[in-house]
Amino acid sequence: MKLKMGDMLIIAIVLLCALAALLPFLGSSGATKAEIYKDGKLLYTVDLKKDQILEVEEKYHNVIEVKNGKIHFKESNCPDKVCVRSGYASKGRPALVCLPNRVVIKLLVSDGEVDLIVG
Amino acid sequence: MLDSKTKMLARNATLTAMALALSAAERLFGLQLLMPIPGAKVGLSNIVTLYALIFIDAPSALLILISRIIIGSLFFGGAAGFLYSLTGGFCAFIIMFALSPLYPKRVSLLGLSVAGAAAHSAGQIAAASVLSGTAYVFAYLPLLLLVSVPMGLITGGLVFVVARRTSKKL
Repeated sequence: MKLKMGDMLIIAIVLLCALAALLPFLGSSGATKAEIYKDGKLLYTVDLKKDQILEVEEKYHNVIEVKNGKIHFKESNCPDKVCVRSGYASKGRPALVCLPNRVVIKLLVSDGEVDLIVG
Repeated sequence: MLDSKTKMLARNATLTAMALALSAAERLFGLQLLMPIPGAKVGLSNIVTLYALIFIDAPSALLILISRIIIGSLFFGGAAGFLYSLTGGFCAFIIMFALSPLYPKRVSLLGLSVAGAAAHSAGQIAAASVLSGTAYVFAYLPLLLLVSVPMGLITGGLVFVVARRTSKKL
């Protein structure tokens, strides 16, 4: 079994798409606030400078922790617990999702930050 | 002798059961233990879809795919899981079906499988984005696409093995 030309082309296209899908998420940093959404509706806006614990009680129970300017799902009783194992939201991972509970944590980039200066 | 309709029904039912067993097995030894990305999986049941698409026919493959997703969601998934699987599975089928005329001259089972795996990831993320009402789930897409290359190669290779064992002409 050998890779044909078409196979390599397919793999190259998939890898290019992966790279292209990554672009919008590069370089966003310095978030000082985060938003927590349930079904696309804003539940909380969280100040990341203040350590705190938030709870979302929906179909499942999520405990969200803010510590040292970072936010993560600390506990959850959803079946897969992917949200907990995802760790903290970061530059490379600006959103955390608990799919079973349909809860999304999204980092907000601080106001007035310039993305890029060209010239 | 069995008439061909009965034979087809039995064969498709057997393949559906095999696809279900593969997704059940995957739930036990999931890729998610290694990589905590929502939706990341090896996609073992795509072995059956691709096998049916290439060695039987497209309508049978589609029928097996849809039956597997409906029965699978009744067994282990919720309503949300059903929609992710259905959208992902459907996207994977469309892409593999569209590329299948190029088989075996220009693409092999490996390429078809990789294309299917990538389409499944994209479709699943699109469904999650609509259901959760945010585009931010797309943050997982680059990783999922990256993972779909090795996973597609694995499942494509397995289709090859199965086809050889069942002495299909390759």
